[in-house]
Amino acid sequence: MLNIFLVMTIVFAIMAIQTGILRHAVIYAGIYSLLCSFIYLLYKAPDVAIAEAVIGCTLSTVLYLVAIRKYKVYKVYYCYSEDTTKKKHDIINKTRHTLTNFSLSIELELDFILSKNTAAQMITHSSYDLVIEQNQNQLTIFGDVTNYHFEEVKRWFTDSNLTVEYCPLFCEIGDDRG
Amino acid sequence: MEGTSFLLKRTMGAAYTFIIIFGIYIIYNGHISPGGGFQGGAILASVFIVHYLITEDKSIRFAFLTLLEKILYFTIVCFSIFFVLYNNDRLSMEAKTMYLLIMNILIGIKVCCGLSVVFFRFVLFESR
Repeated sequence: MLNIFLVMTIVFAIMAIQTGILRHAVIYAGIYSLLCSFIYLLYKAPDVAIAEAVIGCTLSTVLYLVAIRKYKVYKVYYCYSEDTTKKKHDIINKTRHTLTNFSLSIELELDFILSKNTAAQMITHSSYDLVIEQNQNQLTIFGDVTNYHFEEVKRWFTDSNLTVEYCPLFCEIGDDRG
Repeated sequence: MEGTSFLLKRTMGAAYTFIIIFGIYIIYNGHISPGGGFQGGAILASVFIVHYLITEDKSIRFAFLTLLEKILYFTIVCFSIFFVLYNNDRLSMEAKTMYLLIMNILIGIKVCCGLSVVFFRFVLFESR
């Protein structure tokens, strides 16, 4: 029993280090903490187990998630119309793949949100880093030009063979979204 | 946190009371069962985090929490010094149990205040 859990802690520790996506790493670290607390219980130290479960598993996980949300999220809204065919799904997957590679290259966490609203609604009502609108087989990318990642995104999309149109937006300097 | 899901709100809202009861239980039985002031206080602090997750209410009285934490710290130090100075064999078992209980409660509230202040300071003020 004890040996199984000890091996599992090692497995989860390695998984937390090896994963490329930060959010998964945080969750793996949380599972690792929970297993640790159970092992303390098996070692007959329930006191330490409670402290480990509360601090390691809950508080630190929530703090890490908030930290990732605050600093490292690249939020992309993908707006598409109702009638999605097989081909359109291919485009969505391709876009997501490109953006995932892009976000890994700049070490940001990708938050890819599919939405059925129009791009104009998204731009006015929510905080975003990039809004992509799909119109038949044409992609339109709305982005803030003052954001220095925008040029990088353009470069990545030229490498992938998607038909893309760019629509730069200008934000007021000094707005503090995010 | 904008746009919290309905499911999260309802389940966490139901769990709310149980977390508080569990925290109080751990503090109250700290001297006879596993747990104690620190663990119970941390559990009570997680109530504040749940509160942050399920509501958009960002009004938290920082100054009050910080002041309460400082006062409690001072009380803990004074109380333990007082007890050590007056501790001798004449004290009954009940008095010692009472001392442990009071210390657990004080430490629990102090840790709860401290961790909530740390969490909210981090969440609401630290930004890029």
